[in-house]
Amino acid sequence: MTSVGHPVLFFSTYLFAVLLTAGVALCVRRPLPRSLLCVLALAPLLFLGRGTLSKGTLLPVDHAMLVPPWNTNAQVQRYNPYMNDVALQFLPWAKAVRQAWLHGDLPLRDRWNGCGTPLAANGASAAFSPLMFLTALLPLTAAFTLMAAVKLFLAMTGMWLWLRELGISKPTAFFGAVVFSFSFTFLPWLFMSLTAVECLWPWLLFSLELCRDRVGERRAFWLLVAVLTALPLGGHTESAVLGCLFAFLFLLARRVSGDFPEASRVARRAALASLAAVGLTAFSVLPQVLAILSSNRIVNAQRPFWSSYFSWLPHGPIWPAGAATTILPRALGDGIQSPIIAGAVAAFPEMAMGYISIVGWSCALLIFRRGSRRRKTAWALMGLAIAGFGVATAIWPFAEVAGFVPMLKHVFPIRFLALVALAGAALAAMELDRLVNDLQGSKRAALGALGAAGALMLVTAMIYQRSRPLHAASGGLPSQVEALWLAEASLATLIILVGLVSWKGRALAAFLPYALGVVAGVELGIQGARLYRTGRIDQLFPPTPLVQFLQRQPSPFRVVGEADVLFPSSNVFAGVEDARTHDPVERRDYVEFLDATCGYPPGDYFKLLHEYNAPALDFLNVRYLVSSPGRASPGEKWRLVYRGRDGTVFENRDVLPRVFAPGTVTFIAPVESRWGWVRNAFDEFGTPSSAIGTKKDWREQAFVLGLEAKVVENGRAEVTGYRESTNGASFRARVPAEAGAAVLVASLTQDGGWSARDEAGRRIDTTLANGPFLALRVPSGDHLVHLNYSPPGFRIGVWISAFCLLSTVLRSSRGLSSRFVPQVAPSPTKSPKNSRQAARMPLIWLAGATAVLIAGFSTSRLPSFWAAFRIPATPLDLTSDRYAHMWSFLQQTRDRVPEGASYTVIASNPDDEMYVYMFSLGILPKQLALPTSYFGIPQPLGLRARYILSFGGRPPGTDRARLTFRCADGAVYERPAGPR
Amino acid sequence: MIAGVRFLLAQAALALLGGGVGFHPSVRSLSLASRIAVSLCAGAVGLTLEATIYSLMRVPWTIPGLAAPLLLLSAVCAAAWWRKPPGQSPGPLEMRRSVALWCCLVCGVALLYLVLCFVSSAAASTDYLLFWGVKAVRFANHRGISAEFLRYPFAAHAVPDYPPLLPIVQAWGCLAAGLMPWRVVPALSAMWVVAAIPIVFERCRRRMGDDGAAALTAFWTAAISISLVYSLSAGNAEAPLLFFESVAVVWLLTEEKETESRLVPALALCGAALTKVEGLAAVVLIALGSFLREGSQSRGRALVKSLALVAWPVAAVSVWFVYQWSRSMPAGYRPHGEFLRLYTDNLAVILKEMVASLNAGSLWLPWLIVFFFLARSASAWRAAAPALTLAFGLMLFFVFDYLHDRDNPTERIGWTAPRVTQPALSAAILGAGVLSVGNGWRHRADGPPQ
Repeated sequence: MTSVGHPVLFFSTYLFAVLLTAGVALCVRRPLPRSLLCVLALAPLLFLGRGTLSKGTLLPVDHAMLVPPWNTNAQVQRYNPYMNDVALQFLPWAKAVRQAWLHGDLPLRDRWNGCGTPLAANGASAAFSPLMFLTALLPLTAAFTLMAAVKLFLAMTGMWLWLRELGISKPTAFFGAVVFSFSFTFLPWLFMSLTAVECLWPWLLFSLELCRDRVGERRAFWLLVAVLTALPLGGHTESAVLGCLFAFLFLLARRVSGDFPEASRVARRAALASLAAVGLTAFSVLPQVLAILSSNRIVNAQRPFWSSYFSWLPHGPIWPAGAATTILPRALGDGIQSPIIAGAVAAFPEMAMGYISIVGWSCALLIFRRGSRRRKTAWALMGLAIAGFGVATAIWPFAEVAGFVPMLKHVFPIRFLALVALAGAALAAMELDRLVNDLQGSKRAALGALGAAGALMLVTAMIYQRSRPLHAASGGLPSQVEALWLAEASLATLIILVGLVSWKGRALAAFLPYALGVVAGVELGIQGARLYRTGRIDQLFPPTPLVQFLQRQPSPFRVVGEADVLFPSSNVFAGVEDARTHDPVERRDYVEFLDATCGYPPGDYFKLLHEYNAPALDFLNVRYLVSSPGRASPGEKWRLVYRGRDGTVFENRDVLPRVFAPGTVTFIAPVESRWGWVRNAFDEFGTPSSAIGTKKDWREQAFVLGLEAKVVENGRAEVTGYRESTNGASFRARVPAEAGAAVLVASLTQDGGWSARDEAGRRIDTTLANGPFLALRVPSGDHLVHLNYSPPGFRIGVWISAFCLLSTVLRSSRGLSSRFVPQVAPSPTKSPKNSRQAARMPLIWLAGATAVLIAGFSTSRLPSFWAAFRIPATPLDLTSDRYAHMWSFLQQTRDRVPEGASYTVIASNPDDEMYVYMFSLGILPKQLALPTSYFGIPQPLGLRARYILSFGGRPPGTDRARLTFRCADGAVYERPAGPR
Repeated sequence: MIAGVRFLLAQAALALLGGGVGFHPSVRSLSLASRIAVSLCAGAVGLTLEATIYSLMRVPWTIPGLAAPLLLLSAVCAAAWWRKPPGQSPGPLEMRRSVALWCCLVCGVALLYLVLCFVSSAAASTDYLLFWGVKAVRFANHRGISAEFLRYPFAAHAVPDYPPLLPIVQAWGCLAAGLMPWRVVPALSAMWVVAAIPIVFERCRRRMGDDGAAALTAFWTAAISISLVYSLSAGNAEAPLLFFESVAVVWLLTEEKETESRLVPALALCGAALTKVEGLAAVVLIALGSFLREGSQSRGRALVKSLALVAWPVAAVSVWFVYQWSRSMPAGYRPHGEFLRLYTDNLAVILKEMVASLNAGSLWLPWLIVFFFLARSASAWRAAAPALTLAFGLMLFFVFDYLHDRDNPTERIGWTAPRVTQPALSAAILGAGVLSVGNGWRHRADGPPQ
């Protein structure tokens, strides 16, 4: 696409999202005013302006440029240290997902790391996210920017609609929308999947609120189903859970306070909608749950963060500084211009999550102001804000309760500050609304607001003063001074505006929320903008000579990088597979295997490999070690093959193929079995991973899970033609007849998702080898083995989702208007047979049609449902493998025979020769076809052909023919010019 | 990709080329979808005849050269028919909601399956890659029917005597696309099935009521979609042949008045005759069925009308035969062995294999259901005679053809019968539908259905 095309596509996609959102609002009879829609649509673009209108990007290019070998392209300083996950996780995953779709595969497996890790089952990859599909046509960088803009827009519109539904005036709802969507729950996280879920929180609350209204109850229900369905697909299960928890507690609190009489009816509908949503997303959620349960991270997160402080006795906040970062987000430093100081317990974006602008908090504090009666909802919101804050800062008993609730206990407690932001923003809007109403009646109402702002001015100054020495020592004082002045200036503006309204223009009170919304928006915008720096798109993982060298090497192979060279996941951009991982759902057993054999501490967030000479790397098909420039060979087996200013590459002399037959197999009886799902392979082997730590004879011997414990000599087997794709692999295995069968071991991580079939579609037994790796038992003979991967839980999830979709469609159709399906009694003149039979016959035909369909699917020629969505390389891919190879061969060779030139076809057998010849007449229509044989009868005409297309490796039959082209399926020869 | 889109647009443009027929009074009463489908039928037939005549006259094919006369003709026809009152409309839809939804679901799933299988190459026809597509490419490159290629002794496998509709229609797409999008063309076979659906539904409404028509259409769609996939028919001539024959059969089955125009069935039969050799046999069988149905009332008139049905396709095929003759190719179709030399020893094998081949990808269910309904209404067979003669006549025709094989025909039957018996299945479904749900065939001079 041209340089003009991208912006056009960007803005038209954004416009589509905006109109779609407006359409949804209209559908539920809550239209968004046009002027507001324009403002809300423009606000994200204003914030992201640098990334949308220029050739730059707000993505952390600096992080990419600091990863070797890309660090030699240009000198760069790391700007925002908390953006590493964007560069090293979200971007690579998005790239992997896009590549999979591009190749016509479902993004089920991340083939690039850890000998194959879950991709779709890694929720954060957002493989099935609606936003991913929306931005699929844009380049990766523009797609991320667009996603950020859409998230902000969705958060704003959702918040506005929710607040309006709570009975708040339009101006104040605007204020609430601004302070929430530009809060630090969003701004530092714009390029992460977390915000894709959080932007739907207000929509969830809005749709629940809509369910109260009997008039639009039906549409509200479907909106609720849609939102609940989008939540888990968004890419951050943890945030989806938090959002649902907030909604539940909010409704519960209101029910208890008597503010929600329709609670039981709404709860029933919400339960039904949740059930539908869980069913609809089962294809994504089930594999995610199983992947999380098998992950390394869940083991590391077993102990709740604050668990060492849990007590039966009441206690105050364990992290009191959390209050400071909620009011002054940089109070403990930001890692950018102000180093992090003592008292910090998490990364800056996490600690600042509760910040909704100082003006926002000032308005929220108005709940303590006297005046007109407060709504009960305000108290519910305050209660939630306190609870969220309590969990984050470990106040008794909030942290203790959260620490004992299943699922919630694994959530990092500081992330509960996001709930503080949501409740705080709504509370601020609600209280500002009360203030505006009061101001119209009495000037004295302003006093409370002025008092709250003044108090906050004092508190911010005190926080600054308290941490001043530490910041001065760290060199971050100028940034702190700037932050303080920004807060004080905002509060001063608030005081002036409120004072002005109360003193002279009570009629202008209605515009106060707009003005305060702008003040808060500007302040948050300034605070947020400094988190990003514009980088050049072309510096985001460009190809370097080292990368190009690796890409030229024949696949399959894996690499490992020394220290942070080609840090795991960044290798996706290099297009090479790495044995290491940096992934939230990296399998525990795989990490244990790496740790036991090569040194790879499972507890580290940034894990580094310690032992490069470990024989296990041979087994893992690690052919190349990528290192820093000038590095000497780390061991005997590593041979230098590349040296450049961007790094050094060593080749492993002892590398084993990806699939091979070990000499001896030690069968081990399994300890437990979980219906094909492997939670931890070492548990199934009944042995700790350390037992395999000293193993060196990977080629000679393998531990394989079998029915009974025994040691056998393995049959010899020849494995050739290995090919791997996102969700599959294939190879040819030749097992001699005398061997009976052979066990093949593959360095592919087996989580229970791999299955194998031979060329005739017969199932081949799979099991585990050497811990978490795939083993196959291939019978004697020459077999084309097809490996197919679908993550555990995916297939059953697809069935559940399909069933739910069908049920949902049928249920939703009950409300179709008669425009689409007329509901008129059959007229007597049109009734073919005025009898019960006339009514019954169509049903019999329909039942027959359904039976035919079901019977038809049972004989389907599609190897799998998903195969139907794969773009074929030839018109025969799924019809005949043999013909597909012939077609592919001709496609590759057609440009090797000039137009008008004569050619002939030869093959290893007359049948193939005839077929290739017949196909060639269509693929090479501008050349002259002279067959060597026709229906098996030799034709002398073929000898006169200038070019010889040799399929299947048959030699041209003459010494004088010159080889001009060779590919996997054959070659092209050219006979010397001359009379023929 | 772009070539694929251009090819697709060129195929869609066939409806424009035959658009004039969409204004015929007998067609104007139908919905827009059906009118487009009828126009597609006319466009394909018109293009084939025109392209053959061009080749006969050695006029090279170009897009404007081929399109302009047909568009002009369409415009003239539209202008001529525009003012004539349309035929009787079946009126607004009156359906039970549950039936409507179920039908939509069945049709949707069946078509999705069909399209996915065609797009993903799971049902590609090797005939398409061995000769239908090859002919199309060669014709497009030659900008005319390439007699040189058809006469080439080492292209004998491309059965040079086969009628030219499919290669010409595909070559038309190639002219527009600039090349042959081999992977896209099979997917477009689904177009013919999709085009047939509205016609089947709307014509059946006249006889069967809305519920019955919808149910029968759903059954037809499901059975034909599964069968097309099972018999690997993407890209070859089966889908267009099914379209032409089904349109003709359903049109004749649901005629309301004696005076109703037979333009559409005639065009469809022309299409069938120009698509495959057995299409001509189908023409004769359908005309025979028409005669059997009407002959009981007025034998002479029925004979004339049936002969008129045959005359159009015969004339259309004659253009092709004239072309063959003018290029020193053997005119007509090559017989499969000596006409009356039958190897009756193979009869048992043939019957056994034929029955096995009626599987249609759905475990014989469509045929079993059809037989069930036919058995229930056997006494009223005359009402569905055009369909039944086609269904059973075609079977006999193929048995007769296989009897010419000296060797064991098992392999040939296994390879061809699942494909070539599809029009028979389609006709049998339509016939059984009319008999089971419909209100029987009544021959009236005029007046609305009572």
